Amino acid sequence: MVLGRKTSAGENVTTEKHQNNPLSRKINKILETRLENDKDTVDALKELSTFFTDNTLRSRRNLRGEIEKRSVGISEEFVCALRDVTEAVDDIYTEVSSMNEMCVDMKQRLQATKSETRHLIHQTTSLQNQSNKLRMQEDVAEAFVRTFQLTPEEVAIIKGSTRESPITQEFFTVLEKTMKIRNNTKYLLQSGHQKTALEVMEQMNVCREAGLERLYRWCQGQCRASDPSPLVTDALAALQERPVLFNLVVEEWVVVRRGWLVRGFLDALTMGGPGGAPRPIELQAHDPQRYVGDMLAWVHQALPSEREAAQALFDKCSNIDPGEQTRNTVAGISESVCRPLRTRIEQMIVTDQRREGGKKPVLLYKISNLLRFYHNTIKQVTDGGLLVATLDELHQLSYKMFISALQSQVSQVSERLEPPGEVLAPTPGVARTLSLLTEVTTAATIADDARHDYKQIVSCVVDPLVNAINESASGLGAIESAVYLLNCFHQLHSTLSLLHTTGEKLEMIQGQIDAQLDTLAEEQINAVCHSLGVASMYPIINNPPTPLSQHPTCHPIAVQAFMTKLDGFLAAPDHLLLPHTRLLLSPAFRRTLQQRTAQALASVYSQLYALVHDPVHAYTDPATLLPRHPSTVDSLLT
Amino acid sequence: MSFPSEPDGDNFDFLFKIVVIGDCGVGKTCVVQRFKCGNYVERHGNTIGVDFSMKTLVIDGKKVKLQIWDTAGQERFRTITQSYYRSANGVVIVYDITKRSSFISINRWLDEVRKYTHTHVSIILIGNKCDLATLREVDMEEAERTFAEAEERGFGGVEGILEVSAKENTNVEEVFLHLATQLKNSHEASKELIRSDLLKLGKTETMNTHRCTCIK
Repeated sequence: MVLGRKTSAGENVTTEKHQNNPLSRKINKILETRLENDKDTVDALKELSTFFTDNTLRSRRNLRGEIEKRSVGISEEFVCALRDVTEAVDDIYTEVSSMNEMCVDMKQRLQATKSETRHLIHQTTSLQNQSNKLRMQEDVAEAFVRTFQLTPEEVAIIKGSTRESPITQEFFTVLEKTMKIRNNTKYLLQSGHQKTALEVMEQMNVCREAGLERLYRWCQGQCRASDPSPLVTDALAALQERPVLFNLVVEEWVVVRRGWLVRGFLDALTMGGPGGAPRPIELQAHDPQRYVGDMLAWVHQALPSEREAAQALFDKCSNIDPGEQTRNTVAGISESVCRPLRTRIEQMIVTDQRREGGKKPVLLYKISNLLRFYHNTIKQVTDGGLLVATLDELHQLSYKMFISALQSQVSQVSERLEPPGEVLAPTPGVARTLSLLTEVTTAATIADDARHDYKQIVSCVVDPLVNAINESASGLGAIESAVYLLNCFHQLHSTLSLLHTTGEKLEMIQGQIDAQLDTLAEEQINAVCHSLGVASMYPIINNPPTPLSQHPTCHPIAVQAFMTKLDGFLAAPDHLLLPHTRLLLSPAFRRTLQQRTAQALASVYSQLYALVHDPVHAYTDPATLLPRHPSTVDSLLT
Repeated sequence: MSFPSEPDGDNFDFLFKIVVIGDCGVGKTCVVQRFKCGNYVERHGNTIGVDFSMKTLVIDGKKVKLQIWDTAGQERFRTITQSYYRSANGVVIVYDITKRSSFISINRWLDEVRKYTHTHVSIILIGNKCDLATLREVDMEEAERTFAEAEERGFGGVEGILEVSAKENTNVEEVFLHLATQLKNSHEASKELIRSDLLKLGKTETMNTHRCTCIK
């Protein structure tokens, strides 16, 4: 503090002296210093006040020491305190050091462990990979087994636990599976697993073989059963690939069914239906048509059920034509009834030959038509086969018998044809023969194509009849024979025209009718002209000399006589007609004759009229001679 | 003459009726059979009354239908067979070259034809069995002479004379073809007339002519 004062005093001095020299500036600066504002100085002074209590000389003198002494005391205190700190820091240091050591140790240990476990992890990873791979392989193997192998249960189903164990729907599923597996082996083959593929195929073949063998045995059993399982259809479809087994089963089926059919047929013949209704067919043996018809009807109605059964049997077969196979099977089954049927029907046809009575050909024809009808019907079911052939043969036979019976009967009748009587009507023999023809042809209604027979039947009947009629007419005179023939032919014509398809015969008869009508017309015109006295005039009229009136035949008196007679004829035209023409049965024929006569007469009259009225011929008073105009005569005549 | 029931089934342009006549056993039926069916049957029973056959020929593109009436040669059927002459358009007279009597009969047959048929009828003479040359009793020259005589006697309708064999099928077809052609041509010439009318007119005339000849 004193120092300060001194300095400031000194500075004051300088300032005062040397305003502008450094010393004055320093003094100024000191003077300007505000001690109350300098904190250090204030603190230092405050400190000083604590121990400097007495401002004495002594104290002033000792101040310096005092201060130094205090400074040493503080330093010593400081050293003491610092020593404590050092010690504490040293402690911390040791602590940290030891911690560090431990950490290093730990780290080392960790490092060691780490290096130790690396190998282990490696191993684990590889093991894990391996396990994954194995799992995948397992999956593949399982899938393979699923795709290419049968389960033991399936093998059991295929092979059957016992010989008699029944075939079920599963069997076919498994069988189907074996087939699928076999087909799948081609993928194996493609992917190069030849050996496996062959093994699998072999395995499947063995399995299938066993299964089909079992199936075959089962089917045979089913064939014999009265109510075969519906699975037989699947079984046959499966057996298709073994044609031998397939055919054996079908054969068995046919044999068994054949036996049933024939037994059923014989039962129906001899025992009738259950409880005797319907009655045994054999009871009808006295009525051949009914008997044959019943037998054929029985066979016919038995076949559809056989066909249905066979159809069901081959329903699922894809390799063969089910329709054809069905027809063949039904044909095979139906073979059995051929023999009993043939013997009985043949007997009917043949014994019937010895039967008496006019119905014989009709009956044979009815039987023949029945046979044809059933032949055609059954042919649609079986399409050939022994039964159809048998029916065809029987039909041929019966038809042959029918024709010969018809021929013999017609010849019997026509050989004994009665000579025509007074009335020149067709004799009863003609009527009998024609009614036979009608009866035969009406018997044919059942068969559709019977009309093809008509031609033969008609010529069978008509030809001998026409011959017989001609024969019996040969003894008559021209007019009588013409009338008789016309009557017979008229009847023939009207019978035949009811049957169609007899064109040629009708034409023949029509021709004969025409010829006979010509004859008759000619005879009648002849007779009328003769009785009218115009007959002798006609040649002269045709080639008239001039004058005609001078000719003796055409003298006016003759003309007048003709006119008188003509008037008489015009009044009663029937009077001069030939008496025999009244015996004509057909009004149409009578009318034709009348018309022709009238026409001829009218033409003669008009010719004569023209000549008489011609002045060249010098008739006196032609108007009174032939008063009627030709057109009047024509209209009167017709 | 009308045809109440001309067959409608087969159509044709001309219909001619041909009568085959001749002595018993000269082979009329064999000739007709040969022509109609083309076969030959050695033994035929006697024809009773008439047999009827039809055959359609095509001549110059026209269908010509022949109705052939094969008559019985036996005397007892004469009344019946005569009926068929009247409407005939053509007549075939058959004799047997191995049987002189049948040849001599020709004149009688010609007379009969003359008597019953209308004047426009075409007649053809044929000597059958010309295969039996060793048994021949009638020479061809003699036959031709008879043919010439017939023409002289005014049988304008006689178209010709031919020797045929039904057994060996010689000339059979030709006979009918010739006759049919002839008939077709003469009918075509008078085509403007409707066929049935022509027949009707002809018929009436013929009947009257016939009547007069009878009366004379």
